[in-house]
Order: sequence, then C-alpha cells, then structure tokens
Amino acid sequence: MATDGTLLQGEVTDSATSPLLDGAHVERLLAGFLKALVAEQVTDLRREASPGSAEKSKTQEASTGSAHSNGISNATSEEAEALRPSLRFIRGGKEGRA
Amino acid sequence: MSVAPFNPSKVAHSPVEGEKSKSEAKQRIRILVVQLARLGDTLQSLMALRAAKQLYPQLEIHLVVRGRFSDAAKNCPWIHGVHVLPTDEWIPSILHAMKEKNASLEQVDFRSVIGPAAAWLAPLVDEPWHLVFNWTYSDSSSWLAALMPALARYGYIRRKDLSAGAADGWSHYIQAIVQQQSPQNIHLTDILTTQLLTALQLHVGDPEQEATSRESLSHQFFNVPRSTLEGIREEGREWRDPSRKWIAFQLGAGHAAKSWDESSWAELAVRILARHGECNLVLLGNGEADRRAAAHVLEQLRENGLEDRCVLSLVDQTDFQLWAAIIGRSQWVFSGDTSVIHLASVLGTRIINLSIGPVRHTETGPYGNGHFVLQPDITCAVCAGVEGAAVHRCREAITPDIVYATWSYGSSEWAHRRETSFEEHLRQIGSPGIDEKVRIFRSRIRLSDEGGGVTYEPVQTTKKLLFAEWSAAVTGHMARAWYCGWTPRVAVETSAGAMNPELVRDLRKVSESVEVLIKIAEEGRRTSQHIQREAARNRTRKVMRVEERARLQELALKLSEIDRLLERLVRAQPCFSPFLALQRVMMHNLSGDDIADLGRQSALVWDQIVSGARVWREWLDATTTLIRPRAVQPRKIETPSPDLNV
Repeated sequence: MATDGTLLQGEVTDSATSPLLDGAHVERLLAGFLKALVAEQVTDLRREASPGSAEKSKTQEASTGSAHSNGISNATSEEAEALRPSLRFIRGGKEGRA
Repeated sequence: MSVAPFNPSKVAHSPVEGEKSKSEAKQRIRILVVQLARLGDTLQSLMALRAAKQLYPQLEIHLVVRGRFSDAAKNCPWIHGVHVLPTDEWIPSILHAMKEKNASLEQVDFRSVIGPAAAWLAPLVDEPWHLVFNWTYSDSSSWLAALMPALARYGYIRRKDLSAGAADGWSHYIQAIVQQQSPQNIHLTDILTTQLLTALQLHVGDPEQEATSRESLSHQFFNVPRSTLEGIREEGREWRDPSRKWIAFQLGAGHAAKSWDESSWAELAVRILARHGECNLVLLGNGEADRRAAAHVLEQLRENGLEDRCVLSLVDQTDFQLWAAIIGRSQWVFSGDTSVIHLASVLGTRIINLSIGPVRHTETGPYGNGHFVLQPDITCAVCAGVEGAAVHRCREAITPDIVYATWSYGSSEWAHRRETSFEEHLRQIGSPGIDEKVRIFRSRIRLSDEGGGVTYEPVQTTKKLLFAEWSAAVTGHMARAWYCGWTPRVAVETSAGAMNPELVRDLRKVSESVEVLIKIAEEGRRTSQHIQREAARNRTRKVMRVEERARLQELALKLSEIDRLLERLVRAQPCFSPFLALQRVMMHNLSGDDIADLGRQSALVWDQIVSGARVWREWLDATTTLIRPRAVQPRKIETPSPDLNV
C-alpha cells in the first residue's frame, strides 16, 4: 500500500513458512490443488456443453478462466473460516463471466 | 512426498538477499509464473515477462501452463522452462471414478493421483525460486502457488490454515475490483507488468542503465522461422509480394456471445475486396462454426464476382507457428475478443477489435498504438444480466458498414494524419451517421509522465463521456497512487467537450457522498489506531484485565458499526462498491500476530480507503471545474483612430 509499502513486497517467506517442511501440509495442498483443478474442469465441461457455446479450438481459445474473470472459492476448514469472516464475501464472488 | 526441504541458504548469497552490486545483479534470478488460464492470458503474461526480461537480462523465467495453451510459451526462445501441467493424465481418471461411483467431488479419493502429481512437482520445488507469481488468479492455482518455495510470492496463495489469501496490493486490486467487474481502466497486461517490475525493483534492485535503453523488437518475441509461410499452397508466393496487403479475419471468438455472425463477416469481406484491389484476405479459426462462416464468406465473394481475388481459407489448418507467421505478415487483423488480438499486439499487427458480448476492452483489449475497438452503444439485455434474455442484441450494433468505415479511417491515417475527424470521414465515404449505435476507440501507449500503459481514446467527437468511463479512470488513478507510489495529473484525459448533462447529474449525486465516505474511512482509521494503542498497553500480550478486554470489545463493536455504515453508503451509491470490496479483501488478508498488530494493519487499510476517496474528491473537483461557467472578458472594440491625413 502506498502508505507503508508492505503491500508491494508480496508474501515474503523464510524457512519457517516453507511449505515443504511439513509433509502432511504438502499432501493437503496437493489434494486441495487436484480437487480445485477437477472442480474447474467440471465447470468448464458444463460450459462447453451448454447450448449456444461455440466449439472450442485446439490452439486458439478455450479452457478455464483468467485473472479478470476467475473468482476464488475458498475450501477451508471451519476453524479457518471462523477466523476470517470476510471469506463469506469472497465465496459470494463471481466464479466467472458468462 | 520426497522433495528437498526448502533451504533459504541456497538463495541467501543471491543478489536478492545480498548487496545489489553490478556483478551480483548479473547472477541469474529464477522466477516462476503460474498461468493456467487461456492462450490470451498466456500471451498477456508473456508480454509482461518480455518487458521484464528486457530490463533484467539475468532473469531465468519458468512458466507453468496447460498443455493445450503451451505452444506460445514454447516458441519463446527467451523463456527458460515451460512446465506443462499434465491435466490430461490426472483428471480423466478422477472424472471416470466420479462417474462410475456416482460420487460427488467431496467423496472422491485423490490419493491415487497425489503420487503422480508429487512426481511432476518435484523438479519445480527442488530449488527455491527467487520470486513466484501466480497470474491465474483462480482457486486451483492458489494451491499450486502455495507449494512453491520462494523468497517472495505474488498472487493468490493458500496460507498455513489453508485459507485463500494474497499478500500484495495488485492481487487485492484484481480480486476486489477487476474480478468483481467494477469499472477500472488499467489493462491487465499493465497490471501484470507493474506488479512484476515492482517486485523485481524491491527484491533485486534497479535495472542496469544500458538495459533501460534497449529496444524490444517484436521479431525477437517468438521463434517462428521465416520459411513457415512457404508451406501454404501455391498462393504462398503472394506473402512475399510487398505490394499486397493481407487482412486476417479471425472468425470465431471462443464463445458464441462474443462472435460476430457469418453474414456480417461475408458482407465486410465483399466490401473490402470490391473497393481495395491491393488487399488479400485470409480466413482463420477452428471448429464447425468457423468452417461454416468461412464457407459463407467464400460463397458471397463468388456471388459478387470476387472469386478470382486471393482469399485463403485456413480454418482448422493452422498450428501456432503458422498462425503466428500469418498474423505477423498481415497488415490488419479483424477479430472479436479472442487470443489473436494479443498475438497481433505482440507481433505489431494492427487490430480492428469487435468488442461484442460481455467484454471489457480496457482490461483485455489490443495492446499498443493505433488499434481500433468497436463497442456497442446500446443496452443489451444479456450483457446486462437480465433474467430470461437470450439474444445478444449488442452484436447488431456493430454493422459491416461501421467496421469498414473504421478500418478505412485507420488505414488511411498516413494520408489524413488524423486531422480529419471520424465524422468527416464518414461523410466523405458517403455514410454519415452510421456510428450512432457504436463507440469507437483508438489505442495509445501513454507517456510515463501521463501514467504509462495503454489507453483507449474516443475516436468520435460527438459521443458523451459516460459516468462508468469517468469512474473507471478515477479507479485506475487510485490504483496508480496506491501501488505505483506516484500520482499522475488529475482528469488529464477529461475534456470540457465531453461533458454532458447526464454526467453532470451523476457527478453531483456523488459529490456529497464522497465526503461521507472520507468521514467513514477516517473514523475507521481512528478506531483501528485506538485499538492498536489499547492493545499495545498490554505488555504480556497473553493475559488482559477485564476492563481492558471490555474497552477493546467496545472499540471492536464500533469498528463493526463503521463497516456497516460503509455497506449502507455503498447500497446508496453503488459506484463506491470498489471501496467496500477492497476493504473486505484487505481485512481478510490481515496477517498480524496480535491485536495491536492487527489494529495497526487495519488502520493502514482504512488509510488506503481515505487516500482513494480523496482521489475521487480531486477528480470531482477537477471535472466540475470544467463545466463551471466562466466569466468571459468583454472583447475590447477598437475604434479606429481618426484619420488626420485628410
């Protein structure tokens, strides 16, 4: 943020926050990744199958959303959700454009 | 999973951590970009990365992409690694299991795929990255980015508690404003480029002076051999004839809502080829709808006696290299909102962009100087989200006549030097007034002291400035003030001529509310600072007195009340919704360890809202000054001095 500059630094990490130090955490992240990937694929297939949707090309278009159209749905634990009330807002965000 | 643990010492001696001397700066800097979206997004990412590579030659760039959209990245000789996500290997087995067991996603056991996924991931996490950018801004990519060890990460990630988050300002902006479809006018390529260059400047240092003066050439972008075009039938010889102008029609747009209909393409083709003997046409696209459109274009050309003209139909026949070679050789590309406009932008080919359907050209339109965007200027029920509406009326506004007129205006700029107005041009070609239902823009790269990046300037002089366009400019200005650390001049692109009664009415409605917004945000900041001070008094940070707790609870309740006030204001003035969305995203991303720290960060969030609201106020003041009546000095009438020499 302009006021203190910290928001320009991104998420600065160190060994204590490395995801690879905790095997169980890595497994949870991988499972979450695959689950989200499948969910996006299912949405994509439905969109392609919907009437009026143009046939997708192999090299020139198609597939899941983008920076300006994706929302993010948070698959989080109840505990995490309780800690972060604004998750509800993000859940309510748009999943993608028509 | 057997991957080497993160070892910060591996990067501790890198230029990122150490002193940024010249010799150190020449050491490689490894960055990873996660881009799992479409080809258009991949091309926009590549544009941003090319700009960074130009300034920081020591960058070693790796990209994670989907297989079907990997060709563009694979053809960039300056990209070090393209890591293809093998979704075709993982996902079908999961979908098959879901179908067979009639199971929902929640019931699926992912363990069988975790092994192969970990094996694919291993080379990517073997060595820590200096910087990781998740430019997909999606759910799945947030999990993947969280797995990448790096000194700093940008974009969506997952935190230790697996909740979604983003630590940097541009990602907050994308989540709260771009993805919520609030009006804003910063192009996505500019957002990505600014985020990347700011990160490099902060974590690596300034680019070398010699790098800043290097010119970027479009032919250095892709590795496409010059001989690629020679493979196209016997007409290939035409490509080498400099007297011929090639025009490419990209017929489909990936989505029916964004596509122009085949009869319009055919009418436009007839219009151009009948009047411009120097032009050749190439038809591009993929799939059944595009094949049908191409056949219709060819049929109409035959009916109009133009079958002997050089028209190539290459629908379904282009791989990436041939596609890029054709676009690179063409003078103009006509297309809806599809990836070809980004490809043409990269290759320096001028574009006529038919911005049909739910498209925001200010974010994803053609990039560079001299491209034209045609946007419907009618209310389309489908685009507006009216329930039950099915037919996009917006495409009817973009007629072959107005597309032809725009192209003929653009392609004759060398002659009229834009001293002829668009309206005058319409009169000259015998089509006055055909632009009533369309808004036409011309792209321009702004000078850095004007704010930089691409902007789309109105071509017509008769169109009114809309409130949405005005507020998009204000939001873009706020973002530059927040995340670029400097502020361009206010309302520099707003002229008195564009003012109109509707805009003035809307501005007046907002001008009182903006004062309320500032007061709410200032109160939020004060209350957060109060929380910080109260919490900081507690030195143990673990146990607190009952009265201390009561005071903090009281302040927390007050902060909740301020939140609700902001919500009420946004309900009354929806144009302020970006403030509410941003406040919520930022509050979600507070990362403090204790109440005092959270209070401090919360105050910074409110401070950002205050500074943004003040930008609104400055713009309102500057714009209303344009419409204020001014006293006109009476012209001094000079009386002729008496002629004495009678």
